[in-house]
Amino acid sequence: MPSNKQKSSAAVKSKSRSTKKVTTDKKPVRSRRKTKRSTTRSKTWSKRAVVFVLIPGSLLAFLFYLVFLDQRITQRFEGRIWQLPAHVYARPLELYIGKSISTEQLSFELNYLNYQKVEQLPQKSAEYRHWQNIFEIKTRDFIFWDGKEPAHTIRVKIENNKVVELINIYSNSNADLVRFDAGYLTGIFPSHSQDRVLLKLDEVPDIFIKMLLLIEDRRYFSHLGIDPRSIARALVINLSSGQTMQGGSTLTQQLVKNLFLTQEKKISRKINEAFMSLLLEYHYDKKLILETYLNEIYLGQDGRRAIHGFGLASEFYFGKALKHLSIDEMALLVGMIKGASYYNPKRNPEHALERRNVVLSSMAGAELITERQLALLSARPVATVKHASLGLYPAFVDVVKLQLQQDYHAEDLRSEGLRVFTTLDPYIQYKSEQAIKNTLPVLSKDESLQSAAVVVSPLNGDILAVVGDRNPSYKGFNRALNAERQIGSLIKPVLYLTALQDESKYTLATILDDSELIYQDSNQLDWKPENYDKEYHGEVTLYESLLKSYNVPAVRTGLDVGLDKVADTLYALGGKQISAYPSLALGAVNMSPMEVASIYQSFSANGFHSPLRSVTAVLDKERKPLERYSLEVGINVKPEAVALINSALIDVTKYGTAKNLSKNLDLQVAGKTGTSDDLRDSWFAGFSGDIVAVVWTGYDDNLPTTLTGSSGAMKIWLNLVKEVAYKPYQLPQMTDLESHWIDGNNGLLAEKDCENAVELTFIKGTQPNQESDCEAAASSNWFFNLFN
Amino acid sequence: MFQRLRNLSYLFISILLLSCASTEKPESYDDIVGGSASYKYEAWRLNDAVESEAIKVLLTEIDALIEDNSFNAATDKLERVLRIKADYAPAWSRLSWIALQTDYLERSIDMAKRSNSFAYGDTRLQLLNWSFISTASKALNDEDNYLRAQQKIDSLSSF
Repeated sequence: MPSNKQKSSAAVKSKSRSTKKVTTDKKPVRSRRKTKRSTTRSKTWSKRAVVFVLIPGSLLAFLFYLVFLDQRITQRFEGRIWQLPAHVYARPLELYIGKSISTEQLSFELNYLNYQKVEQLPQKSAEYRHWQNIFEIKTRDFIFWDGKEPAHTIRVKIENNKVVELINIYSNSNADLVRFDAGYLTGIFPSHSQDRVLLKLDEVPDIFIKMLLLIEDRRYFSHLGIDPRSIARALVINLSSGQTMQGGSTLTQQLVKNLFLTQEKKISRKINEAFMSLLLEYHYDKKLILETYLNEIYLGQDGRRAIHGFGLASEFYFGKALKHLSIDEMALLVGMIKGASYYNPKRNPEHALERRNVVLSSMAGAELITERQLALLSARPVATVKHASLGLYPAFVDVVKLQLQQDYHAEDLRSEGLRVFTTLDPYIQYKSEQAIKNTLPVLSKDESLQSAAVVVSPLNGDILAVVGDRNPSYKGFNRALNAERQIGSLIKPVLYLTALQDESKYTLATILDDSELIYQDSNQLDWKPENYDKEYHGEVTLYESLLKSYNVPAVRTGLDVGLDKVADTLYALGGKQISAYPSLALGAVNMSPMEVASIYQSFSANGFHSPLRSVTAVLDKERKPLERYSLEVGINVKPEAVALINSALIDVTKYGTAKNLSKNLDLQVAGKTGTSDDLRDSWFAGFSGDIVAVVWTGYDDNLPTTLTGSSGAMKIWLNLVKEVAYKPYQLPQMTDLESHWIDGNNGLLAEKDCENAVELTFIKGTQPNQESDCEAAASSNWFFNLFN
Repeated sequence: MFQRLRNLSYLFISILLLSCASTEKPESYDDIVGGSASYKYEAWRLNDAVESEAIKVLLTEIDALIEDNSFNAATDKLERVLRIKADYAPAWSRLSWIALQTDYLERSIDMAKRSNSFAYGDTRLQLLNWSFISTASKALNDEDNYLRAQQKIDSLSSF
């Protein structure tokens, strides 16, 4: 039953309403009485409805609302809070006595790793001093797949492009092996492009926590999620100033806003924020909330990438871990919370400095630092690391993604916080890009002329560099991986290897027929292969045919040994499976630079093929090993026959189609030019003792260029290799191989001083047994002088 | 008397069997491969005068890892050795041995062949590598390669 007070009030209300009704609906008195009685009854029911339905209903709705908020919070907190991008790293640089490296390369590597050059002995991680050929470096510690590499403080002396001295500065003892941290390459981001490096609370310096709470939420450990005193203080300040000068949000409220709500300034959002903060604090420990805050807070933008959390921010702005920051650097980061864009030290260093000093003053006020420290720290300039802009090396990253996709879902790569260690050599990548950028304009003024390059390690098939466009940072079509073009004469070493594996029939001295050839295919159509110079040369040795890249003898040899066998050899060397057809002998087969690199890696390793790899290891977000991609090697060709081919490929770069290389390079290399019909594709594939490089040049629409393999791609190859190769290519020592002097005219044994004599390599017992009756030449190098 | 004769005949037979066994596997082969439980084959021994400190340090760590049965970690470090010196045949040989221990038989054969490609003039190491190839081929039931490996072992043992 309603109380009396409620009754009278209801009566007043019903009276006024009924009065209104009288004036509008002129009904009989009896009827009015009836209406009045029924109205009173309905008001009573309304009161009852309010009491019995609306209030409990509202309470219920409120309860549902709280449950809904609660679920949102717990679901997020008890599941995965963030999607963590995969972080991709370059290979780590290792130094040891005898390591081949130039001072220029070491400077480049330190710069790439964001090491700071200093004038005195480096005191902090990631600092170095450099004068003449000496470096003093304090490295960063780093967790690799095989454990943690501690920081080293070392002195490195380089002479003649080799490390000749490597000393631990503090112990003054020899440092045997120093591994640097791996340089950050890129991230594989979720769609929102948020990036972060997760921190655990115990990894955060105590002073940083004190500073943060001092500036953002002094009563963090005593409030329940919202702080009425802060709100009241902010209200007073804002009302008195007439504008929003101060916020009263606690850290918990800021976290709730960032994690669950939008940035819009609405009262409903503030209400949600308050309730969710209370719920969050009800469910979870203060320390967990603080840790989450430290990892969530937005601290700037790097292109598309959003910098979240202090872990990433300290690395992004200062190139080091939070625990290694100085107090002024920490103060700068804490100051950025107020406005990550306005106080961004890279964009607005004056604002950042001003804000940092406000933070430092507050610290002095709270006696976290002394007045002397305040003066000292406030006087320091704002210094951030220069960062290579993201999106570098897109062609290489394509290759990495391709390899990772074999073992990981795309979603996992974007969200599981994997750490991916790749084989990229930043210096070789840089030099490859420079070689293409600087050489292409010299080759042609036409800016649509394109190029691609792949550099791999002969030892293990590690992909060291990939360039997919004349503008290397272009993220579009990746020619290194996807442009499948005719390889031309690059096939000839494969073809002749097929022949030389039949050692009873073929040697480098075998005479081949270079005369007109008309081949009739199964459709009775004639095909007449021609040499590049449109001439026939009669009888030539296999060696000379390869050296000068004659087409006609190559076709004859291919037909003789069987083109299916040539296709098999190609596959055995790491190429793809292809079908056999006569023009295969001239390289009428489409391949990408990456596929060619796979084949030539086998040549460089004397027949031992290692599948190309761009990833060596993957760690999970806890930095525990997840996957290791070990070195693989296999051999399916005769190594002795490969050595014969390689001996000829060395001579190709001295006396053959690539003879300009030996004039411009100080070290011995081996390689082969390739040109497709009508000069549509210009190729060079070759190797030194430490790298294999393949370069392609041509037009995307397959129009003819004016370039041959030697006038186009080889020039880029030369400019690349002379910058990054240190070791000459040497033929392997093999018990079954021996050298003999041969008469280049007839392939018979000759005296060294014979005219046309050339020294060729043979598998023991396969050398010719007849001697040539050639005459002695004035110069024993006559044969090669002829080529030159 | 009869007892003594019987003992003497046992002794004689034993000596005969042992001598047969030693002709089946030449002494040099036993010396090198040994069949001992130790993995530290003589053929892997460091040439202190030649090898760099970096390689020595890594090999010491590798030995410790192998003793701890941490073959994956040892493999990682062997790869680091090869990045320093790609033609360091004993490192390839160790990779072959680890593959053999972990039943990656084909990998063991490949690594042993790679080791041999750098082991020019080192008969001891070649012999060891062929023993790995032989063991792995036998386990793979690859009769041809097993016999070829045995032939190589025989011919190398005769040096």
